[in-house]
Amino acid sequence: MNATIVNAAIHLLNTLLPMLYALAALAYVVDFFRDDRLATKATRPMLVLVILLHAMYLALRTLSYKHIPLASISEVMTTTAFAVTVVYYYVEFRTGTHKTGMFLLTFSFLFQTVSSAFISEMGVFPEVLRSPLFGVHTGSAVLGYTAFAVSAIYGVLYLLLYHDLKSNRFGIVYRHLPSLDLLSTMSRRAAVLGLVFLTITISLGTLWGYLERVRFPHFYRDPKPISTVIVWVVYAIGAVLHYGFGWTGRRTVHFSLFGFALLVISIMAVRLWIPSFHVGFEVK
Amino acid sequence: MSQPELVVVGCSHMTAPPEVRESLAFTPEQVREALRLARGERILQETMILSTCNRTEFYSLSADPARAESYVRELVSRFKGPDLFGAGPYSYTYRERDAVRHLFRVAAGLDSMVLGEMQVLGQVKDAYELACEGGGAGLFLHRLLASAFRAGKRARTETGIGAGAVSFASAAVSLTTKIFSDLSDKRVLVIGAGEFGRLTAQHFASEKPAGLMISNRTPERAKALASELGGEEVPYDALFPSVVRADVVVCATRSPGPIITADLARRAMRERASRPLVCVDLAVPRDVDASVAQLDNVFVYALEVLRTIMEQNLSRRRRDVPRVEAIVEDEVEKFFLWARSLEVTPVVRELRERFEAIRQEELRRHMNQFREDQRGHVEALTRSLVNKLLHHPTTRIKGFDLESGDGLVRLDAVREIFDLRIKDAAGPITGFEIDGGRTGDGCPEGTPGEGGKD
Repeated sequence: MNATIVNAAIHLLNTLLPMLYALAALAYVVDFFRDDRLATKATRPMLVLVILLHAMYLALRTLSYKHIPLASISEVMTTTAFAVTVVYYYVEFRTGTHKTGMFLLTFSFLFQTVSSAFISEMGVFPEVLRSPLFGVHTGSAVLGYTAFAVSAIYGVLYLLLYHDLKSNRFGIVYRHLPSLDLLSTMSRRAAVLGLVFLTITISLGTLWGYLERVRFPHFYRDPKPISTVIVWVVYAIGAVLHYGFGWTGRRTVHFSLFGFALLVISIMAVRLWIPSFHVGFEVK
Repeated sequence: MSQPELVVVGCSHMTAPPEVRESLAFTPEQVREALRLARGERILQETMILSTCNRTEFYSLSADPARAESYVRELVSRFKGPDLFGAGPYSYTYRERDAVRHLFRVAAGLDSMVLGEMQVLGQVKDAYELACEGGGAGLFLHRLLASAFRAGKRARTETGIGAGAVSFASAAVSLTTKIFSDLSDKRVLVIGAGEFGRLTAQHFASEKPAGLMISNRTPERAKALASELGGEEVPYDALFPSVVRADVVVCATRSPGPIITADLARRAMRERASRPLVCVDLAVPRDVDASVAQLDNVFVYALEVLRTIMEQNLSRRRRDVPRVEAIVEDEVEKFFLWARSLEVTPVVRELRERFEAIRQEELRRHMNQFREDQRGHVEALTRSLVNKLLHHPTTRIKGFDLESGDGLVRLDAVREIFDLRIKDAAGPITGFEIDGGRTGDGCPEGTPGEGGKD
C-alpha cells in the first residue's frame, strides 16, 4: 500500500478517534442518565465502530512504523484506551447490560485524546519492539492489566450500590446501576479475563527471557516478573475461592480490589526501582 | 341523515365509591347478555362494555346520542337496579371527541386509580374481545380500539408513565431484583399467608424463583397458598433451616415480636457462607429485628422504605403526564382524521378528483399525438367517459345508510379500493401487542396504603 495513503489514514484516524470516543461515551452517558431510546440504540453500534477503527489505527501504525505501538507514553495510552474498550465490550457482550459503559468509555476517551494530542512518529526505537513474540507478550500484558482495572472499577461500583442499598438511599446510583450480583459478575469476568491474559504474558515472558538469556542475563532476578507472578497468584486465589468455595458478593469484590491495589503498588515500586521495563532492558 | 358519534356512559373511581362500583360491575356473562340485548334492540350501532373493579363504562356508537345515553342507563338498570346508574353524581357521559379522548386516556393509564397502571390496557382488550364475540364491535370500534391500544403502547414505551413499582409488593420485588438480577436461581420464603403475604408471594411467584416456601402459624393456610402458587409449605415453628435455604425472606405476620431475630440471622448467615440475604418486612410491628440490618450482606427493607420507593416512582410518573397527554391528543387527532373520512361528500369529491387527475395525466401524455383540431373532441370524450364511469358509483355511495355499520364498512371499502386513504389518519387494526400487565380478573391488589388497580 502506498506509504502516503497509509500515513494519511493514520493521521485521519488519529484525529477521528477522540471524536468517536467522545460520541460513544456521550451515548453511554445519555443512556445511563436518561434511558433515551435513541442513545440506547446507538451505544452498541458506536462501540463496535470505535473498536474496529481503533484496531485499524493500531494495525496501520504497527505496519507503517514497523513496531508494536508501545514504544512511547502516547502509544501506550492509545493501546490502553483500545484495551479498556475491548475489555468493556467483552463484559457488555457477556452480561448484556450497557449501563456501565459510561464509566469505561470515559477513560478510553481521555486516554485517546491525550494520546492523539501528543503522539508522533518515532524515528528511533529499540529493535526488540519488532519481535512478534514481544508484541504478543506486551499486548497481553496491557490487556491483562486493563482487565484488572476494569474489574476494580466494577468492584467500586458494586461497593457504591451496596452502600446505598444498605443505607436505604435510592438515588441515581440505585436507579441506574445494574444489580449487585451483575456488578459482581462483571467484576469477576473482567478479573478472569485479566488472569487469562496475564497467564499468556507470564508464559511468553518466561519463554522470551529464556531465548534471550544471553542478551538479558539478569532476567531471573528482575522484580517485574516476580511482582507480576505475585499479582497473578492473588487473582488465581480469588478465582479458586469463587469457583471452588462459592465465595460471592462483597468478599470477592474486596479480593479483586486488593489484587488491583497490589498491582498498582507493585508497578509503582518497580518503576521506582528500575526506570525501564525490565532489568537490563532499556526501552523508554 | 346525521353522522353517528361515540357516546361513553359510565362511572369510575373518580365519581363513585367502591361499594357503588362493586354493585355496578358486570361479570363477563352479564356483558355478553347486555351486548346480546343491545344488538337485538337495535338502538346502538356498536357497543363495548368495559367493566373492572374501578370502572363500568359503555362505549356506544349511535346517530342519536341522547337516545343512546338513556338506553344505556335503562339497560344498566335492568341488570343492576335503577338507582345507581341514573343521572346522579356517580355517572358521567362523554360524547364525540371527549369520548374518544376519555378512552385513550384510560388506555394510557392516565385515568387509572394508580397513575400509569397499565393493567387497564389488558382489561380494555378483554372488553373489546367480548364486544367482538357478542357482535357489538364494528368498523368504528375496530379502528377506535386500534388507536386506543396504540395510545396505550406509545404511552408506555415513549414515556415513563408506567415505570417503577407503585405497590408494596412490586416495590419489594423491584428492590430484590436490584440485589439479585435474576430470581430464577433464588429461593423465596414467605412467612405469613394473610392478604399481604399472599399478594407479595404472588408477585414473587410471577418472577419464577427456583423455590417458593410458604410458612404460616396455621399450616393449612400456608399449604393452600403453597399449592396455589406451586410452592412448598415449611413449618412455622422451625424457620431456621428455611432461612438458611432462602435468598429472600418476606415477613408479613401479626406476630407481636420479631420472628427473624439478630441471633437467628447471624447463625443463618454463617451457614449460608455469607450469601446475600434480602429480608422484606411488611409487618407492623416489625417481624425482622432492626439490628439484623447491621449484618454484612443482609438487606432489610421495611414498609416505610418501600413507601419511599413508591412515592419516588409516582412522582416520576406525574412528571411524564404532559407527555402522555400529548400522545393522547395526537392519537385523537389521527383518529378523527380517519373518522372524518367516513362521510359521503368528501369521499365522492375525492373520488372525482382522483379520476380527474388520472384523466388530466393521460391527456398530458398523449395529447401531442392528436392534431390541434382533434384535441377538443378528445377532451370532451374523456370527460364524458369519466362522468359516465363515476355516475353509478356516486349514486350508490350517496345512498349508503351510514346509520348502519354496513354503510360505514362500504364507505371504508370505497376508500380502500380507490386508494383514497387520508395521510396520517389512524391505521387499521393489525392485531394486539399487549405484552404483560394483565391481571385477568382485574381485581384490586388490596394492599394497604394504595388503591386497587384498574
